Amino acid sequence: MTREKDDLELDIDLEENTGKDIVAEVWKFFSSMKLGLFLLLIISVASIAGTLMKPDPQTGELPYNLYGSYWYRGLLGLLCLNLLVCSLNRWKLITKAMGEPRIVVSENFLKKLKNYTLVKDKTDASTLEEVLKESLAAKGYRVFIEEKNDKTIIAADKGRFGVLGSFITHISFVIITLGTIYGNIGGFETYFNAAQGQVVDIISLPDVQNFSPEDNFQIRIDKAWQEYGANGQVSDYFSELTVMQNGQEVKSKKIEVNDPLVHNGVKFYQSSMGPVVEATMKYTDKEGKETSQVIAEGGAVNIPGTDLTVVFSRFNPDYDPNNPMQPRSNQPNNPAVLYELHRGQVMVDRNFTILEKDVKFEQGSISFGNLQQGYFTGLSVRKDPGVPIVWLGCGIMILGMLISLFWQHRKIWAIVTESKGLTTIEMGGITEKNKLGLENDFNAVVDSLKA
Amino acid sequence: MSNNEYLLFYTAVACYAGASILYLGYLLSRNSLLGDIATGVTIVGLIANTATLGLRMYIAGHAPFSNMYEYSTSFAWGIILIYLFAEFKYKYKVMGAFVVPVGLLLIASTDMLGISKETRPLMPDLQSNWLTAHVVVAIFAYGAYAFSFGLAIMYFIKDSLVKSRSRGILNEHLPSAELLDELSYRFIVFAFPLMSLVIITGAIWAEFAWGRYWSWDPKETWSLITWLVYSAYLHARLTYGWKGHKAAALAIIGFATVLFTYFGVNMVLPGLHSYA
Ligand code: HEM
Repeated sequence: MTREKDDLELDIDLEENTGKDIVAEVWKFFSSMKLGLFLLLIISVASIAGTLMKPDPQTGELPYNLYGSYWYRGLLGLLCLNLLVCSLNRWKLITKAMGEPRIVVSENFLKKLKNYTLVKDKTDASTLEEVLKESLAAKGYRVFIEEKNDKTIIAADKGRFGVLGSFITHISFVIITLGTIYGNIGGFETYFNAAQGQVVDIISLPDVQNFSPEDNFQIRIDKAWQEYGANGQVSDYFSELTVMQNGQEVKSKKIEVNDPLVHNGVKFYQSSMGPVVEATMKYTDKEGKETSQVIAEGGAVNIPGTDLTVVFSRFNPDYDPNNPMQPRSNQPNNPAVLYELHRGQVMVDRNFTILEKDVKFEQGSISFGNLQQGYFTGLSVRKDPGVPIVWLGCGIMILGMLISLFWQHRKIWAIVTESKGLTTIEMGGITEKNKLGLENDFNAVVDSLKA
Repeated sequence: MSNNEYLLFYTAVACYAGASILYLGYLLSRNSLLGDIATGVTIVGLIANTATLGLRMYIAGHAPFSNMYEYSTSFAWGIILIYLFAEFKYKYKVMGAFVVPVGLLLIASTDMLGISKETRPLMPDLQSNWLTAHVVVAIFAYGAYAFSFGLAIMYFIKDSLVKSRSRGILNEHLPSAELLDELSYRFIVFAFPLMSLVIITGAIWAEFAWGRYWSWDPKETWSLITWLVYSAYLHARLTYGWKGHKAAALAIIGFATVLFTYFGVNMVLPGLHSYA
């Protein structure tokens, strides 16, 4: 009778574990769907509250980091634990459901089912059994037959693997959660602005963690620009980046919004862009040979053939020699450049120079001119080793849902008896989901008997 | 917006409005001619709706997902398409009286809320195939949710009519409460994996665009809330056999969160980046 109860009760018996000891009690607590629904509700309400908070208009920061808080994460963790315990609890039932359906059933059991029919016919029993078998098989059912006393019982089922679906879905949720946690504890997230020509050392950026010095590299900004659509609005941002490791160029990529650069597990996203002053730096060597390079405010370039680096550290549109750091106005009345000259790690010179004026040193001279507007690029930098795990979990989740929602376990039984030239068939069908689908199958089989 | 676009758009609006009234008339009179005309008008509306979107795509040079107007027109399209599909499959025209008005409300929402219909270039981070996939799947998921919502409303009406033993034509004409309940559930079952796919494609897009697959942005959070509510629906139904009133109430709450995710997040919440 308990098997019949299982079949009737949709195989769901959550409060089955009624042990007295504490372990069983805890297990029972965590396997309860009541807890599950409660958690889904509480998490929804908390999340709603989180979206109602006003971000600070200046910084965009929220007054309270709800989603990062321990109790919110704890709730998500409890949900994971809950569904994990739930799934493990049901594993026995799942394997049972995937085996053979219960074959021997009683007429009383069939009468209790929602899909129940009694058919009487003068055709002999064995012909009708054949018809039943064929029409069930045609609908994709597995058919089992058992003779018992003077009755023939036909049991059929289809879609039995559907019961795996919810199990797979639940596991996927746990996988996604684990992937997120792994990403949080094994990665980092930071951001920098850099102008054309600048070289950025990854490990020295703020907030970089979980990043081994052997993996370290530098990013050189070769170019940054934006493109405009027909109506003059920005349509896309671009940066050309080169990865440098141990002084070697490793690879280059033109990144844009939606198309990051990845190296050693670190991703660089085009995140923002802003205007910056660019100048052409002319170098004249001792022989009088000239070379020109574009250098942006904040950027640096190497002087070819020397061990010197020039840094364009600040632009001053209206230079006042008495107060060099303070522009007199925003107008380009007396534009000047604050440059630095480095030899290796050592700064050998730092001064203001007005445009087109030569700065002399032992290897030649430099001058700045041809001011124009360029762009600095803002890049988000992120290492998240959990991402592949999260994608894997997402894929499994979709798979599990498709299985559980579209692959429904349906069972149909028929008890055939013959007496005095009259064949009696009692038929019943059951499913947990898609009652209409079962009804269609059921009616089609019944109709085939009448044909 | 060009004159042709206006013409097509308002043809669709007018058809959906006309069809809503015709379906209501059919529901109350049981005149099958009215029902057939209603279906015909809905089909014309869908054609005009499709043409509106097609023309917009042609003019803008990208999928019609760059502002509220385009989204609303697309979502209305999804609801009506799913409705017509269901009408042909299940042959219950009375559902039209409850579902087509939802489509009408969506497509008319731009005028009701005074939202601009102008073509807008796509912001750089919106130019992504993942985002296109995201919205296309959302159209079908939300369409199916809208349907289950319409059916849940019908369920409440039918149920109260049955309880009061109404002998009116409405009671006779509405399908049984049990069927309405089951169909409403079927649509949620159809929509739930799609909704999950909506969240996942959104996360993939965000990973490419911002470098974070999940940033607890209000839009993301609200879609998660919607997902949790429908997940509660499925579980309560499956494990506790929640049917009828409770299920219908949850289906209505679920759709309310869908609408809030769509309208509320952009217009009510104090968020930072709300991409229409
Ligand atoms: C957000 C997290 C969850 C997701 C995404 C999820 C997903 C699913 C899905 C898709 C189904 C199949 C539904 C159907 O066939 O109609 C399902 C069934 C089920 N879930 Fe969950 N679930 C979650 C949380 C939970 C929790 C917390 C519990 C336990 C307390 C639980 C217990 C069950 C049970 C018992 C079933 C039905 C049994 C079966 O079909 O095998 N679920 N779940």
